Amino acid sequence: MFDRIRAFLGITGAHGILRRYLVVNGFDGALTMLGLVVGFYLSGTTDLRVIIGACVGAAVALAVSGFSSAYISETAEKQKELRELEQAMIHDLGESIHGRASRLLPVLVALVNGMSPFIISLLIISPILAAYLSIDLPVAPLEAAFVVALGVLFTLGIYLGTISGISWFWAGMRALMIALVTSVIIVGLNLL
Amino acid sequence: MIRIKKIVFDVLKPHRPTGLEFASAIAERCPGSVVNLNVEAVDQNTESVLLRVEGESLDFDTISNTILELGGSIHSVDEVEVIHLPDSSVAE
Repeated sequence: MFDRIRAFLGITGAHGILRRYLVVNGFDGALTMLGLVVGFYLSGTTDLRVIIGACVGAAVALAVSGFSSAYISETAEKQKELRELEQAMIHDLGESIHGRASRLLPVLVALVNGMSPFIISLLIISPILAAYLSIDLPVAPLEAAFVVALGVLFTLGIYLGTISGISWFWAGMRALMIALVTSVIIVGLNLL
Repeated sequence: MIRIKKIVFDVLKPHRPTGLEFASAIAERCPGSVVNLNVEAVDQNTESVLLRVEGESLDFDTISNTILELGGSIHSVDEVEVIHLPDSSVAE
């Protein structure tokens, strides 16, 4: 099964697409959770059930949105590519490895695009979930979630830095700056 | 018994899988075979290749099905070499 997926990825050159979707929607998920955490912190909400409900709701919405949008767009894109290749080959490729890849790849991309913000969101709110389950934390759950969100965004930045071959530190710092600017905007709006 | 020892195909294939992947996939399906692939012409989306497969006992259907499965299209069979083995030598 994994060999088949690897072969399909090789043929379609989909590694780059999967990586892009993983980072782009993962970044979306992390920033959304950061915004929610900062918003809850500023509003003084202490009811963990409300916070978890809102964050999990947003995570599910991001997952469904990511899955459906990627599936629809990638299906259209891969069908177009297959049609163009069939025209060049003057031959039906539906049962070839290209035809199977054009059906499998949108599902794979959709899963990555849907699951990356969901998993990242759950990771960020894990301190809040831990506090809700009465697990003792050294810091307050919202502050801990904020730190985890910054850590996740820094890590995503490092990942992008290593792919593009630029300094991992500066790539991480750039992602961290985006997170801090987002937080500052939310704080500023809260002061209005 | 008739055995195919060599077969040369003129194949039109997409750029992917690459020549190496294409030849390796065929060799994988035909144990003991030697596969040689020469690119004859390259187009925007396709390339024409001359695929030479040699072995002790090749299965034509296995090779042609693998070519089709990899997205290739067989234009012609340009060369074949078959051997007629007496039944006694097959039994050995």
